[in-house]
Amino acid sequence: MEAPANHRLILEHLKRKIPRRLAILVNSCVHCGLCSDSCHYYLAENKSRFIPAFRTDRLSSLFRRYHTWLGRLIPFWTGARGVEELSLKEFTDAVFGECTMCGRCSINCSVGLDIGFLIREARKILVELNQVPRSLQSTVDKAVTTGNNMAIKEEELTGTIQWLEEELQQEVGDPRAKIPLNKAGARVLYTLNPREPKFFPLSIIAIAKIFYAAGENWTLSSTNFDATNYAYYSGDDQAARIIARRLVDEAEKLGVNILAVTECGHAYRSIRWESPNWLGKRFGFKVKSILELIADYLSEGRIRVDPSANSAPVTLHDPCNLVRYGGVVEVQRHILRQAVSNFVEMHPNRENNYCCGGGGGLLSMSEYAELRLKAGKAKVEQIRQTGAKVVAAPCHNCIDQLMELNKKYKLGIEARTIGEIVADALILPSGRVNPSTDSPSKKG
Amino acid sequence: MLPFSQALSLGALLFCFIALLYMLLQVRHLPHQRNLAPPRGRGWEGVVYAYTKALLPWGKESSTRHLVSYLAGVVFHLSTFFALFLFFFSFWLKSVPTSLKAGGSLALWAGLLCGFGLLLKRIFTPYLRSLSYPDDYFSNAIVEAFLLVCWLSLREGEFPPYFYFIAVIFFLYLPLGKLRHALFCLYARAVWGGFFGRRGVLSLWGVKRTEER
Repeated sequence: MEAPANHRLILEHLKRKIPRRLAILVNSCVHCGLCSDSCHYYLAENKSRFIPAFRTDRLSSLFRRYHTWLGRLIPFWTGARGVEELSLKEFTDAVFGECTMCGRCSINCSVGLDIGFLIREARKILVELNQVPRSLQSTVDKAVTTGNNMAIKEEELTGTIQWLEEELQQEVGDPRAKIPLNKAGARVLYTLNPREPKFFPLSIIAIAKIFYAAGENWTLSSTNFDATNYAYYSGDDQAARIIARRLVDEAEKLGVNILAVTECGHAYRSIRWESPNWLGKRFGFKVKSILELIADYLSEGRIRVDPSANSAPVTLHDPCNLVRYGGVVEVQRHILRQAVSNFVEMHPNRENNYCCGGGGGLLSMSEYAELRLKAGKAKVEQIRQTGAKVVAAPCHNCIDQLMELNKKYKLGIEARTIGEIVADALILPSGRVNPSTDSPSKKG
Repeated sequence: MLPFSQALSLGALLFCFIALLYMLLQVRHLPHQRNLAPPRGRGWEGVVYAYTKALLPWGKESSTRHLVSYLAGVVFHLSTFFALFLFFFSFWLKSVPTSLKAGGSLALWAGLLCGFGLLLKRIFTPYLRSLSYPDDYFSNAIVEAFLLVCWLSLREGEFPPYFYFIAVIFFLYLPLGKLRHALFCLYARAVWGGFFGRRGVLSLWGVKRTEER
């Protein structure tokens, strides 16, 4: 039994904040159960509570109780449950700890319900009740209060960028090579996942090298560089709006044409697809994944690559928010086919690819770490079947999860961003093949 | 003057129609978020996809993996549409034409068998049982009863009062329980197609868009 104050909040939410799309979806579920084995949690654990329809039923049952005739009159008949029957602990575990909102069930629902959307709607209720898992909430709070989710100070970032610029100049053999900061009038504003300056700085060099080779007019921001938006995961639209507005303001202030998002699935989805709705406006610049820019450079002949520099078999992981929910499906394949000599697809792939288990904010929720690693089994099997030695993953969250899976399941793979792979194969403008032969950053 | 059973069934149909319309209007009044992000694909293409390719047995992994259940569901639904067609048809004809009897009986029997199979699956499969409420069983049962009386009517060559009485229960229950998915499913499927089509994930011709539109 939960506190009456919570009951009132939930009832208020159900009364006033139910969106049309939710009502349509919960009125359509026929409990056919065909979604069961599209979920990586269910495949790993084989328990009813991991069936997507079962998970969303916690929200649907509340809806039925207060929004349907039979649910009001004879609740047991339709499985309608009132707030007083709701266990907040179970509800929180189901929507935060046992679902990555990867949307694989949404693509495969026999009716066509976007279950990922329903889970986020359920998370919204828990935001109002202050039930967001502490670790995820603290990531959101950090982003809101400091400007990025790792609380990196401006001096710290500037220092890192200066050091990286020197590294870049050495790598490309050109002292004029720059990593521009806060450059007004640049064509491209490149945004980062704070994990890059903090733990994987060489992935920034990789992209800087590509920009250098392409002769791009680009910049980083020293203050509003964080592309991630964990409030998307927590279901907190208000915080999501604050975080998104910073990036949009920065792009407008610098007057760029393109806001390029680093290899991060949810960051791309948040700023490309959700932010215009959160902020209630269309942007005056384009939002592109860095992959789209790299593919453009290759197509336009602005960069050239030598695939023999990447001779180990490479497979591709499709991050859910970039591919299934983001629509960036083919460019990464276009890039890899040119930049590596042995590209092997996973099966299933593209919008049917399995989630690695690290999405939905799960990587930041230490409370559910054990289950998260179990849920990665489907991905592990997919990778094993390819025989690949390198997994290209255009998402920093996915890379972290893949590294953990690699360790736990002894996969013997290396997880790398596509930018890093391309950078290794770059033929620099001077005509020399990329001098860096070491893999820059991410061994599992 | 219509016989009592027929008049009653028309009354139930009217209730069903008004109730569904009311629910639809209620839903239309709920807050709706406009999509302001520039599309990558075409929403309409996704909607067409949702009603064509996505319905094929190999259109989704879930239907391929559960092919028997999926096909049983398709037959059950087609059979129900046929029974509804017969219901409307019955007001104009006093007896069933011979041409309809054989084919119609086969369609109804197929639907009955498939529906019954799905009911058994729901009862005996633990994970499906855990997802089910009395409404799920009753909804299946009332549709099966409707199919059964349709078949009996075809066999007898006329539409007896019990055919209309079962139709009354069917139409009265439709907007109340899970059978209302008959309306909302159509809506949900279009929303699904529009959403993923707009994002360039679903494509009728298998070519994913690489450019913002």
